Formats: sequence, C-alpha cells, structure tokens
Amino acid sequence: MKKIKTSILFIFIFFSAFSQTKLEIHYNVYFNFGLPIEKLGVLKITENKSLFEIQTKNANSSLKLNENGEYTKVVSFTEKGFIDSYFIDFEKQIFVLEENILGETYVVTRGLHNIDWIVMEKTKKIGSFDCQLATGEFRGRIYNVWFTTKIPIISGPWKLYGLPGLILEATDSLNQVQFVMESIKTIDDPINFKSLKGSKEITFEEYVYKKENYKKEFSKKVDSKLPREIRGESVISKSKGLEVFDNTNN
Amino acid sequence: MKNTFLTFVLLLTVSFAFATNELENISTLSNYSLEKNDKTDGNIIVKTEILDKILKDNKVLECSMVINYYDVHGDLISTRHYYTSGSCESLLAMM
Repeated sequence: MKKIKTSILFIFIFFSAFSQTKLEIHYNVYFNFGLPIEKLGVLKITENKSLFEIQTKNANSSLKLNENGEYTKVVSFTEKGFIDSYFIDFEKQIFVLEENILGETYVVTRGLHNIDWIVMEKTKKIGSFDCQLATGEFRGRIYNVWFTTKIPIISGPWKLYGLPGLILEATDSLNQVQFVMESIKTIDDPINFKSLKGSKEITFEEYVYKKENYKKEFSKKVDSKLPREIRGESVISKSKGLEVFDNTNN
Repeated sequence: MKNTFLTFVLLLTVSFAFATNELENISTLSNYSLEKNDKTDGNIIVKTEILDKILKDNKVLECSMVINYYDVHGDLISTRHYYTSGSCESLLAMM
C-alpha cells in the first residue's frame, strides 16, 4: 500500500506526452439515495482537458459550429431533462462545474481539488484493461476506484480524478454511488466547455450554500403554494446525498 | 337486585348495538394505496400516493396523501403529508 500525494500538475506534465488521442468513455451512473436512478455519464478526454457530463437517458449534448466559427453547446431533450457538466483544464488548473439545482443552472469556476488516493496492491481486468485499486475520501464518501495506467490520463468520472491513469470504475463504500465504464472510443471533436444559455455564474461558497439549503428552500416554496383547504406536515430529509461539504474548502 | 342486573344487561346490549352500527358506517381504508402517481415536474421527481380515506355512509370524512419529492439524483428532499376534510378532490388535483 502506497500513499500518493503527488501534485496533479506534475502527473499531468509527466503523462501528457503519452496521451495525444481524444477519447470518449461512456459510464453507467447509478445513484441510490432513496430512489434508485440510472444515468449515462460521458467523459471526453484529451491530453490536457476533460469534460464529464451526467445526462438523463433522454438528453444529449453536442458542440455545433456556428457562422462565426465558434462552437456552441447544444442540448437536446426528448422530454424534460437536464445535464450536469464537469470540465477540467489541467494546463490552466481550473475546474468548471455546471449543475442544475431545483431547475436553475449554475456555473462555478475554481481551482482543482485534491483527493488523497491510497493505491492498493489489488488488481483486476476491466474489459481488456489491467486495473489497479485505489481508495480515497471525497466529500463525505469513501470511494474505491479502479484505474488503468494503460490510459495514462489522470481523469475520471464526475469529480474523481488525480490517479496516474484513467478511472474506469468507482464505487462508494455504501454502494450508493457507482460509475462503471461501458464503452470507450476515439473521437475527433474538440473538447471545450460552453455553459448553457441562462446559466448563472456563482462563487464556490454560494454553490455550497445552495447545495446545503436547497431542501429547506424547496419545502418553503411548496408550502407557499398549498391550497387553504389542505393541511400539510413535512419532514425535510436528512440524507447526505451525493456529497457533503466541510470547512476544508476542497 | 335481579331487575338491576337485567337493566344493566339491557343497557349494555343497546350500547353495543349502537356502537356496532356506527362502526359499520365508518370505515377506513388504512394503508391502502388508492391512487398512485409518479411524475417528473421540471427537475423534481414527485411520487404521490393517496394513503387513507375515512368514509362514513359512503361519504369521505377525511382524506390523506403522502408526497415524496426527490431531486434529479434521486435524493429525497422531503416527505410531505397532506390532509383534507370533506373530500379527496383537492388532493387528487395536486397529483
């Protein structure tokens, strides 16, 4: 067992020379915090950028070239749907997230966060890739992830990255969060982050406040719309959901 | 003494008969799912269930409903219980 605390920038510089291909990896995303939900996760990676999108099964996004020669993000839905995006520029050391919180889409830009991964001896094969187990704590959950050095890119699904190879599988210790690679292919499209029209830019502190308080805010909103003849009682869920923010600002 | 005892038995029988009659008229469909509805309202997943109806002479005295609201990741936001007297109409309209 070997603890790694290597700087992300160092790993990026070391491995970028080996990874010139653009890849698109599809993950099956599974959340179970009360209501089991399956989603599609699409990770696009180049040597210095990655974009991960969690899509509802009825939504997809693409970049389209407009008349001015600029790329525009286009999201199409067959029904009501949403997409959460996580973009990393390893060269500029920035992490951009775009998430939907109660119908509003917010964009947050900040530096890269660190996960102190512990690489274990255990190995297994996922598809044709030899993978190694690593474990790390991130925002209230302990993740066991399988990464492969055959694809020496420090990326992974959602906000999980920082190992010397692509993360192909990640499961939290409570089995409530799971990302499992389904397919991998090479692509030609550029990887750029374009926020959706109407997205609001907020600071990380504002984002944390919204994430911590949206359940209360939602309940207030529902109460205010209640017809007079109906009496209501509510219990706000104490479930920690996907992530818990602490004071470490990570 | 015998008369007192007979009167007591008679009163007991009459009270029991009235009570039984009342109970026959009031029925409650406890824990019986009468209506269910799952929908996605914007970015909220709403699971609604009419839980209970208290009836008297086939008329609804009280109706109760539970709604579970989940966010886009399936995380429970809140569980809300609603009650109305008179009918279930206004609750059904919320579904």
